[in-house]
Amino acid sequence: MTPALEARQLSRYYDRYAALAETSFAISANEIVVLTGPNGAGKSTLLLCLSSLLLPTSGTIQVGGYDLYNDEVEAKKRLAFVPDVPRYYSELTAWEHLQFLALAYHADQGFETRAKEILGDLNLWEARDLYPHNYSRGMRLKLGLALALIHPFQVLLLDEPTSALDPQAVAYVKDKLRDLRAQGAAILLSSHDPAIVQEMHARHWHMDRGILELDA
Amino acid sequence: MNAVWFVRSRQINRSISWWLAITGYKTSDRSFSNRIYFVYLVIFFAIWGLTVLALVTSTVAEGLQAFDPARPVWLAAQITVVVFLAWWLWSLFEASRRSPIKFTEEDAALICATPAPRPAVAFAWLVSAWFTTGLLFWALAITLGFARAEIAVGGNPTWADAPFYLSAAGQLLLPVILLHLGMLAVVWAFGCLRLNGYHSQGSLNRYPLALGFIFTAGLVFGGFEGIFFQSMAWPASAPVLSGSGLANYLPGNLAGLAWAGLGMGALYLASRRLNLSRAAQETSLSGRLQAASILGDQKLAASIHLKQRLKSGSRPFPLPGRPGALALSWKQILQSVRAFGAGALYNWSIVFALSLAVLLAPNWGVRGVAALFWIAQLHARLTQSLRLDLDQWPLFQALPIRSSYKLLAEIAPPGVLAVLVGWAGIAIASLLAPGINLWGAALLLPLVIFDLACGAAWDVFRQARAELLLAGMAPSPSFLSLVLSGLILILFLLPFIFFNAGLEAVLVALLWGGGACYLLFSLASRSMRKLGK
Repeated sequence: MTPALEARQLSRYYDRYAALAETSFAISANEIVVLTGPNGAGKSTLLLCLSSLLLPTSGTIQVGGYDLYNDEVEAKKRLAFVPDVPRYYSELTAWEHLQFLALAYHADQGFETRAKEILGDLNLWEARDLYPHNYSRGMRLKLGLALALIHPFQVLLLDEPTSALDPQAVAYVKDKLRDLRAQGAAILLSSHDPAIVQEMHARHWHMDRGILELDA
Repeated sequence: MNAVWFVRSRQINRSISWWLAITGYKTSDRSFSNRIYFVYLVIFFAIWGLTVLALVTSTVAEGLQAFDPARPVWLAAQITVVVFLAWWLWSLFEASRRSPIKFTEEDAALICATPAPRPAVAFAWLVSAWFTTGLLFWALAITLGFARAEIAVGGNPTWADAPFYLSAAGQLLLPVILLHLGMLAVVWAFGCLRLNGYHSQGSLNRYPLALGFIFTAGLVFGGFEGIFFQSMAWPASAPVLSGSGLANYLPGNLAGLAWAGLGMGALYLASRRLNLSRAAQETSLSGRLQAASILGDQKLAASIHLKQRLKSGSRPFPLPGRPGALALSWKQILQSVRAFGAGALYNWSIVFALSLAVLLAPNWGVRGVAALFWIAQLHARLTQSLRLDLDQWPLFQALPIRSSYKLLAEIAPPGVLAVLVGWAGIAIASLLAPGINLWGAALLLPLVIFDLACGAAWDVFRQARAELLLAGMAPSPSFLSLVLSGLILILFLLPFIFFNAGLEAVLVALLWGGGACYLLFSLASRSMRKLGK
């Protein structure tokens, strides 16, 4: 069976500095992997490479069997990424951001119902017509989650998704990730909270100085 | 030294250091040679400033004598009074809407959160505002003082007249300094009055409006000599008239001193209950905008300005969107509608004016320079949407849309607008110079624009680094794209040199332009796919 996410001989160097030493791995459907490690270990670099925001120095990445660079459209249709510091358009409200992504991903069927449910769950419904630059840090992160959840995906990547969230939202995220796993998604998230591995019954990967230790 | 002045003096020092750094002087360097350089700077700029003002003086003196040959100095004094009053009323009106005391975000967190005495804060901030807003009035006073001396010596000054020039300028400068300080202090007192406690004195803006109406009516119906304007404007005109030698010097200066004293007294009283937090809430964003403008960060300034305009939120955009790559077009229309303003109109009017300059230039030298400016402006306009999207790199890169479609969606709408603006320029140029045959230029323009857009986009991608894109700092087209576009334009012109301005030349240029379009578009979309280096 084709893994949902597969990286082969993946590395990222800044001149001679190995932000991500060469590594290969695969994540299957119905699987959650929690990536831990100290600051500067290379967790974000790995997630940025997997989400095509950072060009790897070497290696290939496949999402649902499609190469991220040679079959970019098919691969990206199956991928969702939540960065730790999301950025938004100044001219679009939160609702219009969701609408734009739903349209771009051909996920406009039933958009309003889905958007209403997601925003309601994340306590953003009342603030849907506000511009995100008026949001607090936690609200901006919640909107990043909402933008990932508004379209279908096979692989979900999250960079420290619970770092700025209130306890209610953290609980929602954990429940949602379990639901998504049950529905067949492959999830890779970075976190500084080791307890999350047990809570999610997840695989645990550890990174330090650019070296990825699988199933730590 | 109290805490407020301790902080403010360092802010003023930092600001002075920034301006001095532009001239090459380092405030941290204590060496002897650096001190000598500072003395040289002071002498150089003093002489330069006085020379510039002296040069302006001749024109001012001639203008005054042309308008009122009998009383040119009196006219100069009245104009000064009107400038003062207009500035003062406008400043009062502004102070009735937003705090005249501007705080940065750092001030808001440090100074405004402390129980520092409010009058101390107001006076510490008044010092720098007095200097920055006063420079223009001081220059005006020196110019009019010089003009008065020039008129007195009959327009043929010699070095022997220099002391007379300087004394005439100094005579007017002193009451102007006092008057400006007093008026500024009154403006600040007025602003502080509005920011007392929680209550917002929203109705205060009625007073400057009413005063403005009264002064304007007095001027329109009675002129400068009307009894109404003269009596109303007396507090401001007395110091100016005395400084111009049209009234006794001492009483005029005493009136200026009274302005300064009463203004500062009013500021002290009004600022005792000044709510610093509210002042900071009103001004910290405009402070950032001002800092970004001074530092030349146009992108940040535009972003702050846009956020100020957009306010907190908006109802959903009514235009229905289409799925896939067309979603990008939907977003661009939405962004254009929300961001549309005088700035956008001004930018495109510059492109239009430069296209006219290229078409109507008297020779190839002027045409070449105008073409370079036209290309630079076009690059900025054609890549604006692309750079805005690259600023939102995580969102934009994640879209499941082919790179070539994304690129086309980014450059096509501004490209079409550029072609329309160019065609309008060609139409106007044909009307202004009927002898010029411009149908070839009109036919080739879409290809030229598309080539320039692809070249500029490739240059943006070439410079883009993942670290910068993740921080929302998409690069602008560089000098290289200017050179590339210049070469493209020259290659478009070559067939016209070989085949004259006939149909063959247009056909060859069309073929060449089409080929260049294909090559540059392929190059740019390939670079876009490999973004994230």
